[in-house]
Amino acid sequence: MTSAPLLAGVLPQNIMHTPWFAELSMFVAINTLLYLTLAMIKVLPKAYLSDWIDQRNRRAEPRSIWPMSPPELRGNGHSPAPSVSGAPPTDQRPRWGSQPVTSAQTPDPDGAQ
Amino acid sequence: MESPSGCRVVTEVMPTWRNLWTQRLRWQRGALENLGAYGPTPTMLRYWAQQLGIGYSVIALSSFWLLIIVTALATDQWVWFPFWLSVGSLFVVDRVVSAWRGGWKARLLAALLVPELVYDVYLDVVYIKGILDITFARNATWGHVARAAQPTQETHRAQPREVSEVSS
Repeated sequence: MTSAPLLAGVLPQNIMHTPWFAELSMFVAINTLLYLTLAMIKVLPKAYLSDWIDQRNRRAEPRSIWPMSPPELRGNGHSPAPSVSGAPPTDQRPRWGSQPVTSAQTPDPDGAQ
Repeated sequence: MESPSGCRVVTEVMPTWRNLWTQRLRWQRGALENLGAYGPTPTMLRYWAQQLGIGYSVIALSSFWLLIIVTALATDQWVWFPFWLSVGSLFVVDRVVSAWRGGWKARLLAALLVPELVYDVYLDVVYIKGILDITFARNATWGHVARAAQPTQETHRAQPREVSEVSS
């Protein structure tokens, strides 16, 4: 598609068919694609290979005293279930949140302590 | 190394192109001289890469402008290249995302692309001048801008007393 001429005639048109112009065009094209790649890497969210590939050095379940999510959201069935018997947990360290789990926070299915 | 408590670093906004030239030349020359002082150590690898990247951009950007200017002066037709238009639009996305926090004026300026490319030429010239000054051992000057207007009393009150400023 073409439109109106811009600054025609200042340089001879056959200059665009010379070898050095072709080399310059190729150099600029490669650079442009190089900088485009860098720009896209910068803009797009970072991706880590370890997020996609399970490796043997990864634990199957969180072992921190500050787990990041409650067990029902983890979905692996390996985490300790919250106590529903009214008895306090075997240790008083918080297991699935910033608040320690106590018997007062644990629902009693029978409605009795 | 830790900064003192309450220390605040501000970047002086240069009021004129001449002041900006002095400031950027000081930064550029300082960066290059630091590389020379510390050498190619692992800690400095990132800064070496940055400066070598600027050096390559001098070649790449000047080649780009040479191609654009020669083409504009030699052709009598305006030719649209859909591929390069799409590449350019991705650059627009990149620049607008980068300038997003600056507000609508900054985003508009970034979307135009060309003003930033012209400013990049300015920084590339500063880079070359810095290398030439180092090569010929020319004396460097700080070029601090004397501020005529003093901050208002209200501004003073708004700042914690123990804040010390370091300008760059």
